[in-house]
Amino acid sequence: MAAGDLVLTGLMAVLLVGIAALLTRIENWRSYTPLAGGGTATGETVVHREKPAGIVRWLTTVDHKDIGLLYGVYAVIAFAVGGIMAMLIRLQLVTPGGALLGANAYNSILTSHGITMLFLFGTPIIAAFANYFIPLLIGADDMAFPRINAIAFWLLPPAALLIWAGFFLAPVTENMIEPAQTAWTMYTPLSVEQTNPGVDLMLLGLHLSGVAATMGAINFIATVFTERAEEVTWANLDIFSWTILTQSALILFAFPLLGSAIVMLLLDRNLATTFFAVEGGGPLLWQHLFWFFGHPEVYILVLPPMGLVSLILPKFAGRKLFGFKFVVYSTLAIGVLSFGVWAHHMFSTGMDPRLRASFMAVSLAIAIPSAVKTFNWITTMWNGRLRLTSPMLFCIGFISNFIIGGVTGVFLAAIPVDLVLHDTYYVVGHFHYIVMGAIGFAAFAGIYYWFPVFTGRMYQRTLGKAHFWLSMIGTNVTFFAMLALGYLGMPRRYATYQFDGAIAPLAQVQTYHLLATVGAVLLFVGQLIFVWNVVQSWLEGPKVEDGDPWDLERDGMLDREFQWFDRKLETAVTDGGEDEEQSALTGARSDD
Amino acid sequence: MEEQPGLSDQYRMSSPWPVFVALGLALSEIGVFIGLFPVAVFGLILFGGSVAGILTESGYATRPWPTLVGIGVLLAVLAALVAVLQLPTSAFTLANVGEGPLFTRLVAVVVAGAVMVAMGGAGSVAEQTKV
Amino acid sequence: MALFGFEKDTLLDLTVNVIPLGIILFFIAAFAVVPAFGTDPVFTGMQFALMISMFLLLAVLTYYAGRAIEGAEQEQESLEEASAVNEPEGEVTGLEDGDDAEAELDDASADGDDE
Repeated sequence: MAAGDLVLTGLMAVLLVGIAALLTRIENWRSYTPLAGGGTATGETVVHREKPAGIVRWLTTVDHKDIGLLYGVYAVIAFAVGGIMAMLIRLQLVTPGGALLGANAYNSILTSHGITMLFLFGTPIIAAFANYFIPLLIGADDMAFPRINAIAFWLLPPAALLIWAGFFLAPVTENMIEPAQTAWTMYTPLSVEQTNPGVDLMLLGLHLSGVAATMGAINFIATVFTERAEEVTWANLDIFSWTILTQSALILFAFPLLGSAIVMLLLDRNLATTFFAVEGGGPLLWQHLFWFFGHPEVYILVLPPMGLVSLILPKFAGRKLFGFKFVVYSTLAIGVLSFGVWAHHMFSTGMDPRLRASFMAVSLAIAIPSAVKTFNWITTMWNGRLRLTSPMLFCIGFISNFIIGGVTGVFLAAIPVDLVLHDTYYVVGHFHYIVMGAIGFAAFAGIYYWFPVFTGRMYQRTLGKAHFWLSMIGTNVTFFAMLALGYLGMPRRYATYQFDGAIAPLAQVQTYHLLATVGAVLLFVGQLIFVWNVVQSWLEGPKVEDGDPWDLERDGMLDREFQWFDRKLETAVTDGGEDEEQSALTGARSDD
Repeated sequence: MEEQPGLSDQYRMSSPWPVFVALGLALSEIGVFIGLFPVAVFGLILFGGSVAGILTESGYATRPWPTLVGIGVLLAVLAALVAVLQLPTSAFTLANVGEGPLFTRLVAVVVAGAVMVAMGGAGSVAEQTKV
Repeated sequence: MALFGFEKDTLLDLTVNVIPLGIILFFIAAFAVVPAFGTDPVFTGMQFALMISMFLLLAVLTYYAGRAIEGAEQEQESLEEASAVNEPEGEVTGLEDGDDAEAELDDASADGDDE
């Protein structure tokens, strides 16, 4: 113990001295002046007068576009990790006895899949788009607080390492520290009683990601309120900014609560407090706190993708978004009502039936704003001049999947139906239609739509379409099979399902599990194509020379971000053509 | 915006501090909650130092040292308050460091605060004597 | 027509949030008329507090959002009238298309060299 402490102390001392030395080289504390262009104190060559070169540039950047790209890369990596975990889950369930993993490994992977996809992919990919495009869309120079923006991003890598820590540490520590096996909801008393320190690490990681999300949200609210260009008013603020504004408000109220609840859980685990003990607050308190965060989290994840679709879909339908203000007001309605529905996740906990009834009422009411949006999107496409590009295909796929995911959700909002379907694969199918079929699809639509802006190059269209069709078919095969599994009574989260064929239709259950796995393989192949497409096109794709690659000018729908892109391309040309990679990644704003 | 001196004409779009603020916060959380004394102390020092640095860089403070002292005092006082309110006076012994789970963590925070106060004090004294 | 001081167009836009408000109101009334699970001061109180607070919060937010958007719109219209700049396809008063056309057209036309 003492030796370990000594080693840790030494390590920390070296780290601190190293950091201090590094900082004094970069920053002259004694007489601070902002460094002018030409060189930095580290003596690196500077390709652009705003930023240092090489990896230091990415570690020190406070430019919203760079941070957006960092968020994007981070989210795609997390998506890959979470996707591989999902594949392991699906392969395991091909046979009733489990084909691949032990029960503990399965539980670990199940837990990490959920947390990775929601907190390390979902929130960051939205932040990626928001960071890059909100300032451009509202005509701001940068975010209101560029440095806080950078801090929020840099909290995420440690958060990911902590959440996955158990996987790295289990082999080193002979399973002293294992990955958490609590499921992403971390229900007490299970999460208090698991002595595994991996749970603590995972909770700390979640806490950090929550801090990051909150800092980002404050920044977005401040930016949209105070940094808008003069001609951007509440009447013509674009739809994506509206959804990000609402999402940030939700984050502001929801994530600090999650953070506090996690701290309470950590105290219960390590310092013998009794917040969630039977003799204290009771285990159900955790569920209330968790879902008071958890349900707004659902809308935190889905509102900006809705905004993305509302922004992109009209561009390829050749028509303005039908009922723009309907979408704005319904976004706000979802934002408010999402805080009054949390206990619909807890209908089967035996809470008072009168309370259940009121949660059901609000849950049914919140279905309306979502449905309104769906009708608006469909009407936007009605009689439009549709261009089935990859982003458009993903938008249409979003609507299709969102309808299935949404309608299955309305049934779950009704108490009697929920009591039957609770904790079955029906629920899993329902929310995967939303998180993969809708949120994931909107993220892909955004990546393809803005790929020219991000990289200055065009993606490969055929691969984009292959990605779409594999994802669309894969999503529907996998998650529709899950809905059917739910109707057959298959409980969620189980590592095996060797139940008695006489009391439950085991043969059908296995068939649907097999189908779901086949769909997952399709999805997996599709995502491989996606990653290949993005990486190869970024490196070698044809350069975009037109500031309007989607031909939006014709319909008068060239938004600010593409106007900015156009100006940037022109500036690069008149400058005699900067090194293209640098000009693609840095702004040319100072040259304006 | 005032917090970025010269940003409008300078466009200095990089800052070394955010990474270290984040790293400091992560290390202090791990140290304090998992109960790793050295990690807690160094994490908090890194966090406090980086906060002082970033505030100075962005023009909210002219020198980093008063901020460092302030954060140090704040942490030490908070930890001491928790200790006084939550623990019996009999627990306040040197032998208890490394024994009681809460006490050890609080000592770590107090130590980190004390070091920051010392660093801040030393920094400003050194600066005044040299210049 | 000036319900709550809104213009007719704005009122029409706001109907989208009247529907969820109506659903909540329906359940408030239904649960008040038929207390299927009996009444209990604590739980019945919480039951109605939940629904009523959601109703009020949504109504208030909708009201202020409508105010902000309508205010910004009027300001913009008066500006446009004053300067009479080139408005591409004068569809300003359409029911649904007019509103968003306005929003989008401004992006496209009003600014070429901002920032």
